[in-house]
Amino acid sequence: MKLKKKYKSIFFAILGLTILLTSCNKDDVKEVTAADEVVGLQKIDTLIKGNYTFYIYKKDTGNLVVGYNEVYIQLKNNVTGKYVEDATLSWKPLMHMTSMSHACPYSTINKVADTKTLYKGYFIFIMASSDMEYWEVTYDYTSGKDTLAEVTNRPTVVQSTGKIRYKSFKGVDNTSYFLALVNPTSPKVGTNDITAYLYKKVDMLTFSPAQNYTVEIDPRMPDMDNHTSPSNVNLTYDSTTGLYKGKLNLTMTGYWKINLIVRDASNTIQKGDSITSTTTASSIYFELEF
Amino acid sequence: MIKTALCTGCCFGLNFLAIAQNKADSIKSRELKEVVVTGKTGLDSINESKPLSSIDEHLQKLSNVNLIKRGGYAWEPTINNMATERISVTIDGMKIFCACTDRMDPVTSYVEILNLDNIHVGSGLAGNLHSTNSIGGGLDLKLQKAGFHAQKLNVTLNSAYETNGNYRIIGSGLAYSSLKFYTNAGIFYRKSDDYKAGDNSTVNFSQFEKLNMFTNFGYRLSAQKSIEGTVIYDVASNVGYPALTMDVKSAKGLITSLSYRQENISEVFFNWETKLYFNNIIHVMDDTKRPNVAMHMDMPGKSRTGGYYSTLNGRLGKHNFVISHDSYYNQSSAEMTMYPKDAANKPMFMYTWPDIRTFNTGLTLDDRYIIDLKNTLQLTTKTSFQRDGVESTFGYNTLQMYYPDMTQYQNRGLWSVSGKYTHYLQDIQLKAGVGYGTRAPSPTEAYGFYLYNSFDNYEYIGDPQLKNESSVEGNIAFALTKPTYSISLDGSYFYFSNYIIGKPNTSLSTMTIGASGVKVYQNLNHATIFNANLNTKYIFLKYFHWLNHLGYSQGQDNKNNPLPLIAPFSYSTSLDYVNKKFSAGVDLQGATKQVNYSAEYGEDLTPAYFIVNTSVGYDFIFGHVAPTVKIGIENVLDRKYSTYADWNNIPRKGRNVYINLKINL
Ligand SMILES: [Cu+2]
Ligand SMILES: [Cu+2]
Repeated sequence: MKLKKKYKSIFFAILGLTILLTSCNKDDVKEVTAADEVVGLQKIDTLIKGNYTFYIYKKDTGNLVVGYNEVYIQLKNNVTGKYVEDATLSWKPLMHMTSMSHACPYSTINKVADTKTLYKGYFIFIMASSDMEYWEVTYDYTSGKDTLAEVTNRPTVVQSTGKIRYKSFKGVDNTSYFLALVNPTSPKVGTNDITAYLYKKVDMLTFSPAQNYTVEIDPRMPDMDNHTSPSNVNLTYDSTTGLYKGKLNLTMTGYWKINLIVRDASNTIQKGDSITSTTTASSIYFELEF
Repeated sequence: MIKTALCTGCCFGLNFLAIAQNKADSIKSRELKEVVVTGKTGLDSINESKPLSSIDEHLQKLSNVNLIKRGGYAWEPTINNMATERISVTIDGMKIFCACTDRMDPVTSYVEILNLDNIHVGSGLAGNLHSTNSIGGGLDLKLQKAGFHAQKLNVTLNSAYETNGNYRIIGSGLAYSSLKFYTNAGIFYRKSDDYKAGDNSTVNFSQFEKLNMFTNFGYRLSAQKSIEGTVIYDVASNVGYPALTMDVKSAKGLITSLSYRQENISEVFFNWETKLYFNNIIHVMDDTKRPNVAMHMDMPGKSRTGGYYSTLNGRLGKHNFVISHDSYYNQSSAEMTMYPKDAANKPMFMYTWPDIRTFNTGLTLDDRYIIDLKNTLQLTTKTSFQRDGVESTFGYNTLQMYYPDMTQYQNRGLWSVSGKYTHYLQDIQLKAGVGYGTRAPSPTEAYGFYLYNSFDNYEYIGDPQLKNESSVEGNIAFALTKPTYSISLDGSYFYFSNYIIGKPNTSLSTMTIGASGVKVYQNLNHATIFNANLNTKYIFLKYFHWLNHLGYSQGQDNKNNPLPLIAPFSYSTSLDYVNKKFSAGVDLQGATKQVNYSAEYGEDLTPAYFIVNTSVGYDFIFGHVAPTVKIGIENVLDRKYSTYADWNNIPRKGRNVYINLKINL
């Protein structure tokens, strides 16, 4: 009787374990490797310095462009062969021109959410590079006060041949502004989230986000008698992300001109024109075609 | 309001057609039949001055029916001054929906006159048992059926020529009947070049070409049971629409059905028919032949409908009743691709009908209660459930920009009820009816997107959140029938609530270059339509028939402004000589100037006009071949004119000499 009970409990214990193991196996998630995390990205540079290698990526092929560029970084410890998962990274772009040098708007570098090894930031380049005049980006890996690695590269920055997604202008306050479209990258018919960055120049080396401005949008189709869509929402400043966010409605596929008016925090128009029957386009606009 | 209109209605009467008077005895046939007999095998060709004219030309002769013309082909029928969205057009009870967003292809354009036995025209809410979402009335195109009779084969050859437009018609029909099996088959071809208006000026882009193939068959399973089937394939190609900015490259319709019939089921139920049907329409427009096209566009459309109905006819005491259940599912989809002048820019694409789906299922109950020899009461009711929406996510995203809180699909309940009382007093017949009915918004009214209307030069956007339109109808008719003369008057009055019509929304931006603005369909608080007809007939000197018709209509919106496309006062008078095999006739048709035109909807004052037509006909007999020849001249005076129903005032045909030839083999 007792023995029987014992066997019985052993039997159930084994059964239970089997179930547990089987279910464990089933739920087994394939470990995400560093290589998996850059699938779909294009490597644009490999920078080796001492024990570390910086891998620089971007989403699409081709060169960096004047305007908004999202840049991804992986950092490898050449000694351990492992990717650094908790790095503090920073960078600094500088353009060396024949007579002077200047920077451009750029972000800090942050970890990409839900990844272990991937970091991300952006540059808004304001000029194209040439043989004589070039951009130099310095990448830093620090731990506390110690610089563990510092590398530079000289990326080629070209004027975008595609549709206009970036505009620099001088406001009525005589300040230089830099407006770059982030989204949509693949617009659709219907309501799109539209986001952009707006920076102003403080001095040659300092560019700061223009806060609490409004970017008014008026999407038009020049091929369709300047047809526009209803219920667009102007872009307003989101202090947590630094992005300007709005809603863009597109009624059909094709070429759209997103006419812009930039108003400062006191609602003064710094740049841009309203569309009327005689003014068919603003002095500043983005373009989308899909 | 209604009351006064009913009183005015007393002064006018119901349309009267020749066939009704022949069998004046039984109660059944004493009812005024709103039926036209058309190109049947046993066609009464003596009475048809132009038997091979199109269905549209035949419909034009009916007093409640008018046709909106956008060219030489595929006219859009209206009943009681209501067009496609307010009437029902069925083929043998089958639901078919147009595939063109610009109304180039009314259902009537997918059949041929030789396919038809007759056209049932029902006026108002009680118009057609098979109708759904209709208020103004229903047209049911009844197909030819040779039927189960003693064995007989009948072959006809038909041909016609018309000078205006070099219009050629050729066709052949076959009817075979036996006790066990019957079949009808036909092939018909029409082709016309541009027609000429009255001043001899060519109306460009009025050409068309149409090929129609038709077959019908029946097989008797037993004495009471039979199956029947139909296949129609109709292709119109290179059809010009001079009133529009585009033409049609091809419009193809495939119409099929299979039905099961059972007769004499019991004492009470004498007939039960269940029909399954499917039809597919593909419509491709074309602007490549037009000069100075601002922007080339591709605009294909399609409409597919599958459905069934099951109808039981019975008689219980003095009640003649019909119980019918029907369901259908329709897919209507149309798109537009625009090619910019700057070829570097990508083509622009959108849905004009964003894959609209409509499911409708309903139950119809109809009872004709013969109270006694002098009094009949008919009650009809239909209740249906409809679910409609846009299947295309692309289209749904599009409409959501305009209606952020719309849902992709929505349910609607629809209901109608009507009653008609008929009183017979020797030679006099009196009818009075009342009804209430609702209709769901049409696909265009609910989901249409930037549909350009060349009439008022506005672009139209639907509203998925429209309420159902409803109408209260009152009608009254009086007819006096004597052996040598008859007179009839009829009137109907519709009081609409939530009347659906487009109104400008100045906040929306146009798309078409040069368009005046954008209109959005809305529910107007109310609107009214009133129609009245007077018909007389006089037979003298044995062979002479003199017919007269007067028609009057009025339509007003909630601000008492005229509704668009309402007929002005119109008249016709005809004198026919019919003596056995020989017939001849002359008629005059006209209308007064359209005073109550709607400038808001692009109408202008249409001047008064009249035209004169003549015809002669003769039935020859050569052995067992019996050719019938009809010759006539239309618009003898070669008047240049257009009517209120001519889209953008395109002129109608000038003088036209025709010859119709029919040979029975
Ligand atoms: Cu520079
Ligand atoms: Cu069309």
